[in-house]
Amino acid sequence: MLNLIKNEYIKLFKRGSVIAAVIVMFVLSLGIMMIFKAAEILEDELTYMTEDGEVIGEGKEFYEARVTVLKERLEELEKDSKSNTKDMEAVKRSIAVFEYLIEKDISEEDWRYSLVFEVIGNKEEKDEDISKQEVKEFLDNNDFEGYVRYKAQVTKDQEIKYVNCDDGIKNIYAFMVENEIFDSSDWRYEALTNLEAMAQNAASDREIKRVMALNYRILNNIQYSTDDIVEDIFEVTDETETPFMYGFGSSAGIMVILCGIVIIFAGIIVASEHTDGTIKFLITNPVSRGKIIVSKYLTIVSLSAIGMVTLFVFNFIVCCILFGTEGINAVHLKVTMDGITQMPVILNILIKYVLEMVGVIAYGTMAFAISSFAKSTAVAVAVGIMSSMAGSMVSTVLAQMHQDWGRYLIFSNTSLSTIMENGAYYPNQSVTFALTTVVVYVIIFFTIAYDGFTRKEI
Amino acid sequence: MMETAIKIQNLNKSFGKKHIIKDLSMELKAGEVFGFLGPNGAGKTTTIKMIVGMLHLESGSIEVCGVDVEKDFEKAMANIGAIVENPEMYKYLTGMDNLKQYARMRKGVTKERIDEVVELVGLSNRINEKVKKYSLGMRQRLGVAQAILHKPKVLILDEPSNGLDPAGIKQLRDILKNLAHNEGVCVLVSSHLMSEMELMCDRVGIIAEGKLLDIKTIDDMTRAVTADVNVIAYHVTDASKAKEIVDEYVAALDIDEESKTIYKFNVQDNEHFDVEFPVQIVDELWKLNKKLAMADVGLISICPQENRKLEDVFIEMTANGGDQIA
Ligand SMILES: Nc1ncnc2c1ncn2[C@@H]1O[C@H](COP(=O)(O)OP(=O)(O)OP(=O)(O)O)[C@@H](O)[C@H]1O
Ligand SMILES: [Mg+2]
Repeated sequence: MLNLIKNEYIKLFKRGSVIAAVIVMFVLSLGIMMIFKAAEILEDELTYMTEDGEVIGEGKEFYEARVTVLKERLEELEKDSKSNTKDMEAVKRSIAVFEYLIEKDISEEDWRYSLVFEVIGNKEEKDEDISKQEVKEFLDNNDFEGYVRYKAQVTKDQEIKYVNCDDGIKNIYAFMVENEIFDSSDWRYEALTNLEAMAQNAASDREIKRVMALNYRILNNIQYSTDDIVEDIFEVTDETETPFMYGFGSSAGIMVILCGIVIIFAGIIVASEHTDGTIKFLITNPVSRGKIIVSKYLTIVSLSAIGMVTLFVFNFIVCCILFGTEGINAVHLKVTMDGITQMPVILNILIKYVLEMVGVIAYGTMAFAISSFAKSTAVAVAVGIMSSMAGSMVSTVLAQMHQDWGRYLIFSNTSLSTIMENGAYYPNQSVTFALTTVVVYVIIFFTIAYDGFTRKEI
Repeated sequence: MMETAIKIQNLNKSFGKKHIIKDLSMELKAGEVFGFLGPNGAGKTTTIKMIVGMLHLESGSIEVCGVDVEKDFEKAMANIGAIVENPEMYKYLTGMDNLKQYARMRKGVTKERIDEVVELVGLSNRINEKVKKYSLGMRQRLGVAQAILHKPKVLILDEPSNGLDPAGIKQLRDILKNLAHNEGVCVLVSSHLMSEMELMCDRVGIIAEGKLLDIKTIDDMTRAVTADVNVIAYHVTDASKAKEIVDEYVAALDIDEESKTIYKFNVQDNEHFDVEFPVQIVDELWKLNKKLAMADVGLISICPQENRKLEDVFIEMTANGGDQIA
């Protein structure tokens, strides 16, 4: 049997057209990753603009432009006798804010940025619980630790600002002190402030789950993750991703190219023996036809698997090069009301690839069945590819028309990774249901191919 | 007597409503080259396809070296090497890669054996070229190499000389004869060329319209053809005068009436004719010639014709009354 499979591999890979198809697969795959990369660069290049649409760059340049605009506004207000002092005060404070930002060279990402607006830009002397005077000192000295300790002190009795720890609910600043988060660039600082805001507003199950997820990540110091917020009907993914995670996560979609390739292979592997006339020599060997067709099928299945692993590794390397490796150790969270489970994000992406591969094998088996009937290789390949393309359209249309029987079509069940994440064509289309349907189809297709091949008169 | 290598019993096959093979039975022995002879569409290829498992048997049975081909296909095929119709190989592989494909499917084929076979069919210099660059004859040779790769006990070749040059045909003939006579292989060769069969076969089976007409050894056949008829061509000064004398002479002969019906006098022009004589009188032909000379018919030349060709016999035997394929 192994010898037979080896024969099939040799026959496939000594064909010029097959080699060409494989090369095209890698080139396309690389091309798609480059497009992701290009999109990412474009996003990075978002620029700051004035009201007139003039591009003025960012950071200091932007602050200076604001100061100029605000000063002009102030002059206008001063000239106008009708203007009230309250407005003029507000503009003056804004000018002070930007001048302070310029003086201290504070970027938008700096922990002080929003505080500056709060402390200098706000009129009210007493805001909530902080003393402006004291906070201003922390600002002046860029003393993040001091600020955190101060906040922990003044807010220790407030319940709403919490982190849900194993040993009870904690104030977020107390949590920071306890965990010595004294570096303002620690991702948890921003996450904790987000958590505070989210926790206050969380009402629906889904929002609560998102708070749970964020809370979980802060507790376990998991900066990057892809979070599956599991709902009753389908799943919603919330993601804090690095470019690497985004790029590599999306790359599972490239498996559609492998699907095309496998359909071509399946089309060639049986039909070409007939069109080339080599079938006569193939079956006049001391090997039963059953064994021959099974070994051909195993070749297709193993090629799907090898193709998947190769694409996975290839895309991994390409993503590392294009997007860097930040987020390579990220985790994937699955959040339900009962709790959260986690796995490495790489493993989650591998699962996506494997599920895509199941779809690839399903279409491969279909093409294989067609191949064992078709009179020509070209017809086998064309019919295989066309039905795989038309199939998803059929499923979409049927689902839109609420034809529930459409869920039993193979095309409604092959996009397993999409079904797992959220969007099946039909409601309540679980992965298990889809998988079972696919397996049934595969068995039927294979039986057709097997029966056709072993009975055919040559 | 050598043992039976192929045993076909009451074989029948139809395509749709057309009954192609009609109750065919025959036995082939180990160590013989058996010619399977028949006009186009007689059913030679169809029979061979059933032996090698390409077609299902409708009724009857085929045993190869005692193994029923339908009951134990793999075991039966282990004893068979075959080329059916055209030698279609994987064109995008080299000759060597093609042979390796088959070697992997059969037991006990070593690298040395492959080289030996390549040498035997005379492809050593071209074996590493892609088959698409081969000529028809080269592909035919590769087909033969493929068929004998695993030293089968039964070798089945469907029109093997198709595309081979005269040297190639002779080479093939020698290979087949050697395999049969020295190594005890049963070789089944199909053809519609009688002359070819004559040179390499020990026995021939003649099939027409799906029926086995006769099985004869080549010796029997040749004897049958040469036994009762001799043809002599005459070049004389006066053919019509000669006819009278010959007619008279034959009529007066003291032989049985049946033999006399063999006698034919074919005039070509007034100087040339030929005569088909019963074989008994050939030795006494000088008497007739003497008569002719005495009657003043000038004998310019007298020349015994070649025997009637086996080809003609074959056509006669398988003729279906017209020149259309049955
Ligand atoms: N697949 C088929 N379907 C229908 N009829 C067929 C099929 N194969 C062969 N035949 C018919 O069977 C008959 C015998 O064909 P076969 O190929 O056995 O002849 P053959 O003796 O090999 O002739 P040739 O000398 O031309 O090779 C022919 O009349 C042919 O038309
Ligand atoms: Mg034929």
